[in-house]
Amino acid sequence: MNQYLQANRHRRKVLVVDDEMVNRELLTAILSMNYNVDCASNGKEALDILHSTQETYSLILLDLLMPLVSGFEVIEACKADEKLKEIPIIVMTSEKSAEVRSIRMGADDFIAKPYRMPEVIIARCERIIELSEEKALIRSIEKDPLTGLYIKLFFDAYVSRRFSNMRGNMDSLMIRLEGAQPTDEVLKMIADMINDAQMNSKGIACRADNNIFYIYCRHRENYEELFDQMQRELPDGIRLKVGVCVKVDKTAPSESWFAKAQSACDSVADGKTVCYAE
Amino acid sequence: MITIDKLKEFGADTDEGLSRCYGNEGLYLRLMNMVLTESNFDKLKAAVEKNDLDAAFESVHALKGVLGNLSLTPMYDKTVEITELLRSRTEMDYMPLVNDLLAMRDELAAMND
Repeated sequence: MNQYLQANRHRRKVLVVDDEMVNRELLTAILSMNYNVDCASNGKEALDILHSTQETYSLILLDLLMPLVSGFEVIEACKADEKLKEIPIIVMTSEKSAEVRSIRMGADDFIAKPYRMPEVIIARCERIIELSEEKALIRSIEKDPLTGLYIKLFFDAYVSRRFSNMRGNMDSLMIRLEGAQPTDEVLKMIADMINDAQMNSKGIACRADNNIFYIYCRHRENYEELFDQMQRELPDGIRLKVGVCVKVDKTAPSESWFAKAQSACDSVADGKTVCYAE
Repeated sequence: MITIDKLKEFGADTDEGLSRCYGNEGLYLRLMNMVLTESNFDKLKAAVEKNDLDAAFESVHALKGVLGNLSLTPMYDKTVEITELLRSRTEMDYMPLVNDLLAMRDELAAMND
């Protein structure tokens, strides 16, 4: 991927925001060997440029103390804007406290003033752009486009790395649709129901296969009400079966939680929607 | 005109300043001339005259960044001194320090004579 990024580096656009002309000129000279550089002399001008440009900037280099609209306000505005929030921001400051504050607000890195050697600035820009593009790439493939739920590969990775240590009791679930082939509308309906039940926000869910979903979420005492309701809303001919492994053993591998949920799913009795693992 | 030799004599760390410009002497000297038109020198003086320490801090802080980037060491050191005093809003007469800074700016400008 690094080679790909390297080869395409020249096409990337960087926005330098600094009220000092000398700093803008210096940074433009340093960065223009690798990037197309645009400049803004204050935060307001920066936001105007960002909002009016169709092409996305790969990076914003941002001074903090500026007239009209400060760098902090630019960070705030960018992070609140769907179109701009993914653009990485490197703040340029000589203030240690400002570094911490800006990073907490969502800036990705900082460059101390006076600037260090140009090679250091370029290396930091490259690194931040690379990280941001890798993150964007992962975001673009980690979810099932139809349902918006994670795909199994990323679900497994996130469950074992990010969610396995969530505090409190957690349950693992397998949902299987049987009978008639579920349409796209039915699959989206299932995903909506999972989201509405906050299983995705207080845990993580995926569409593992055409008709199979896995969920890892906070423990709840009763699943029958939720899934009986879900079954009633499904078209005739589609049978919902849900296997639940309650209060998973977090010391065991995550695969074992879902193996138990699958086993329970295989054992759902006629007329029921839910079966709990032993 | 401003030259690297004159800047060295002035006390600028021209090796550092030039390396920040990829060794581009033309760029470095062009930026040096831009400093002479820097409005924050006058803003700093006006703010200190009015005892507006917030405005004075903003101006000197901005100058510090610029002068540091150009490695104009004597002027940078002076802005660091003023910035730190203003940061703690020390009650004192800032004019002598500001005058020192302005005198160095004038000395730099005189290189063009």
